[in-house]
Amino acid sequence: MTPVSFDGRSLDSSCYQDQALFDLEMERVFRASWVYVGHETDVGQVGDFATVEIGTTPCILVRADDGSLQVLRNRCPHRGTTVCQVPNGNVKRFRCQYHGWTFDTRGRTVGVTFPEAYSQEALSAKNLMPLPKVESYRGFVFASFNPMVPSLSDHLGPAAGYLDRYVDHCGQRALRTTPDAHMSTYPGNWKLQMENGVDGYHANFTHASFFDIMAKRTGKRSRYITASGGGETFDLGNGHVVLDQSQVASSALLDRLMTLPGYADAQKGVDGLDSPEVNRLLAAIPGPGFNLAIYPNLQLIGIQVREIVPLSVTSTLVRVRPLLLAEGPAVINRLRLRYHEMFYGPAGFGQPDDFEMFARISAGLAGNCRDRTWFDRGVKESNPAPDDGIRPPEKGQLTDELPQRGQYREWLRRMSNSPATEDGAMA
Amino acid sequence: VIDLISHNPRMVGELLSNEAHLLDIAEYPEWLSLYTADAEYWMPVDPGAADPADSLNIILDDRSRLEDRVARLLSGSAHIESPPSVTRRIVSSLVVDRCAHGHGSDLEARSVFILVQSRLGQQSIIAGDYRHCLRWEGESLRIRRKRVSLLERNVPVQPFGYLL
Repeated sequence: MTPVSFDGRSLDSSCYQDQALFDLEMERVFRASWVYVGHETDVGQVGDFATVEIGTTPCILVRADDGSLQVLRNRCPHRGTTVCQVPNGNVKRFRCQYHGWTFDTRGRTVGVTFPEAYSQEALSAKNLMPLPKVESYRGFVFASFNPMVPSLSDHLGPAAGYLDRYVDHCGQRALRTTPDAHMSTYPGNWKLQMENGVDGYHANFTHASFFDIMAKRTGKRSRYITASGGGETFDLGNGHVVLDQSQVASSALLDRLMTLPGYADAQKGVDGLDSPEVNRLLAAIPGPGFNLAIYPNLQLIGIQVREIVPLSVTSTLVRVRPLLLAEGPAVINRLRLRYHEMFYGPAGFGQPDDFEMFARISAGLAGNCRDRTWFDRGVKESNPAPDDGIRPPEKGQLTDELPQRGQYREWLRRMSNSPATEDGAMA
Repeated sequence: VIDLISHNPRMVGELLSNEAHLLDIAEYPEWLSLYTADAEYWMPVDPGAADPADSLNIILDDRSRLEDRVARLLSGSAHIESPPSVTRRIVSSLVVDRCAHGHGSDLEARSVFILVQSRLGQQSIIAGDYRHCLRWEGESLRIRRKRVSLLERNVPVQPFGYLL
């Protein structure tokens, strides 16, 4: 592995390009710990499934016949054929079409064609290899290849409190994901999106065109941030970080609602709801006001669930979808959809410009000159040296690169596979 | 009363060709003038989506948002289009019918497009279906609604700022 890949302030830029390092990441960052695999409402009914990924490994999240959540390998144990080709659906059995083997929703092999040529023993361990660990926290489902991984709640730590705020941002109302997602790929390493989702420094510049539109439409120039004031960043440990504007940004976010088609109608009232409740639900449309990044592949931004899927060392898939109220009302959910579409998706007014920056970074990395990539904004000399592994949640200003430092500290910890590593090594 | 459908397929074809041309040469303000004041531009994630309101869409613009989109594109700070994409598109297989949802004289034009986009030497091909709802405003035929459907649901779509 590359020496001094992260020194607390900067990263060896080859960490975005090195194939051997990427392979190690798939093992140590993705397979050795918890990875987000979906929302419980994606697979609400018995037999509902969604194809998911643990790093680059194709898996299937499925609601099994006993109601449990299972994550199976999407790979026939015989010759390795995928058993599921579509992103979601409902099944009683998975079937490999190559030689006709079938599997139940818990991954057990229930049908081998012409089995008489096999001994019992030869078939006993051949199944869809259910992952040893699947747990959910407040609707968010995580899985791990590592049977020794600590509990999900230990892994989340203080990040769970932010997850609670996210889930509770519409009061007691339950939330669900949309069946469709916005999906795009970019020509760059997966870590670029992890950094960007909690980057409080870029918005005024990368997203200048969006703020100009909002200024024109709302009559208020509400820049996302100023240099020092407004909002905070926290390193929550285990690579989880948050960029928190919940105390400062709400009025600017609410102003944007006025630009949404259908907003004026909703303000007049919603059938079956008293007006304070309507106002609460309207005020909740931008979400709880923070960007939470759960290492290594989940970001909760506004009302959005973002999954980051590495495809190769220089190619990444990003899947985003808004959370809606599980029980409606439709008027509010439509506004939540419109709010999301305004900035996100392949033709949103914001997200494509982030992707362009990832492409430009990848272009700038060409040549592999062993440059450094810097995350030292807001480093305080008084801060203890990094990688001591034990420190209280660190706090910074909104534009500080503290969240990225938190991510890379965890990255280094896992990649170094040191004994202090929370999640331990894979056996 | 003239039979609008039988008398105007050529006019519809010319409108669609003109729209394609204006988009390909990036004459966006003139392109916007082809649309009605209450126009809607819709590009669903799911090509089979029946209704825009309850769907997750790639684009669902009313007239104001469509003007915002053009303004952003022309601002120079939409980085995804800086430098801008160049596009050329073919719009074909046109079928004109009465519009099922609209005024009595509204027309529906269904067509297929194949578009080549080029930016910084990289080309990509995007294909799909257009469905235009057209409305007479005096002697002019304007676009009341445009729906752009891609070929597949649940597949990645390359981020873009130009208009399909």
